[in-house]
Amino acid sequence: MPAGALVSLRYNNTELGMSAGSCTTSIRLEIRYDGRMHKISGLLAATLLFVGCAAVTLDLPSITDEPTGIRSDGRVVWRDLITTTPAESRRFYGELFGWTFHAPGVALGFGGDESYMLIRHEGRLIGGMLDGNTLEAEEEVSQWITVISVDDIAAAVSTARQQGGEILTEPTYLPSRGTLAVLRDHEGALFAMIETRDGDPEQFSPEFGDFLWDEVWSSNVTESAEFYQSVVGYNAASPDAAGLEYEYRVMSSAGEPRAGIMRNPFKELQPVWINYLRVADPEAVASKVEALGGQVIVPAQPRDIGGSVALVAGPSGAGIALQSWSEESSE
Amino acid sequence: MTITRITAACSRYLRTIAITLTCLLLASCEPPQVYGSIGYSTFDRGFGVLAGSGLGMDVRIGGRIL
Repeated sequence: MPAGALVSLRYNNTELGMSAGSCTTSIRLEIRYDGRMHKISGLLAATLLFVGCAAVTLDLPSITDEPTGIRSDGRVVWRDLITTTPAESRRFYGELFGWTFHAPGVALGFGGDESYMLIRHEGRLIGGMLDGNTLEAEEEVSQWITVISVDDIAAAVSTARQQGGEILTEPTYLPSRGTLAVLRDHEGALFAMIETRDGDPEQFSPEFGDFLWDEVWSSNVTESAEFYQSVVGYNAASPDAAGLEYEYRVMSSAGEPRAGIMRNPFKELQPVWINYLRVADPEAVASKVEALGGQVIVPAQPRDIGGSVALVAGPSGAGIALQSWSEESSE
Repeated sequence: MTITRITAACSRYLRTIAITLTCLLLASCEPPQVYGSIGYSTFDRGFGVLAGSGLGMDVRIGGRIL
């Protein structure tokens, strides 16, 4: 069935209309009752139709505990972990960073109650975890997905398409969360954009165990900067950082640094968004990774501009970076 | 007359069945997904070999600057 298809049926005086926004996203049912339904069989059919279709309305929980009503165009407001080993991933992130996981109180329209879980750190919502086994993926999918806030998702998606991006999920309204689209950038790096329903989460200074930074690993830094400038409206500039010896761009909006771009350090790795967690000591955290079912991809290394950083993968293979960072040194 | 009534009754039931089947078809053939058939494992076990060989030490990764 093509996206946007409309199926309209008429039974006696009752018109049954069913529209599918997308084959892989949501199905919405509308029943217009123009006359008196006097056939029990007709009522039964309409009821079955409603129950069957309403059950597949897709939703994800809100990314805020309290509505803020404020959107910050270009800010990374959420991260979703897709993992094929959700139990092991919960233990991995829970023991390393003190994260807690709990099932949301909304009907998701897919999988079981624990197919999507909210992640909290120190009581704050910081992300979500989706059981990748519920996806109809042809290959194993285990990635962190970076979700960027935008004011006008239709315009952003349209621009992404014009700039060579691929739209994997067209803007889809999720009743509790807002309108979400999932894309690949012009090089294939996977990310998502959201026009939040209740506004973006409040911003807080990252503590140990919180997300600190997000970064695109690209084969062409300049071209990637142009892509994200066009789509999200970032100002991408080389940072004025003494000791930085490789090509880098910091993408900013409203005067705030939002994310970075650097050359992909691995030949074997497709362009990808990588998320960084703030930790006190990357080496100490990395030393616990293998015992928890993960692997160390890049051991802790000093940074040219201070601090240290390591790259690890969780039990399912989703990569995440660990960074020591002090606000004072960044000023 | 009897044949007409039987035909009419069958028609009603057939329409009911058709609507129900249409619903079930639309509802079940493709489950809704946001993160559908996308992506890949960022680092499969092959990258473990890379890191274990010491090559990972030569890789520079970025991080927050500002």
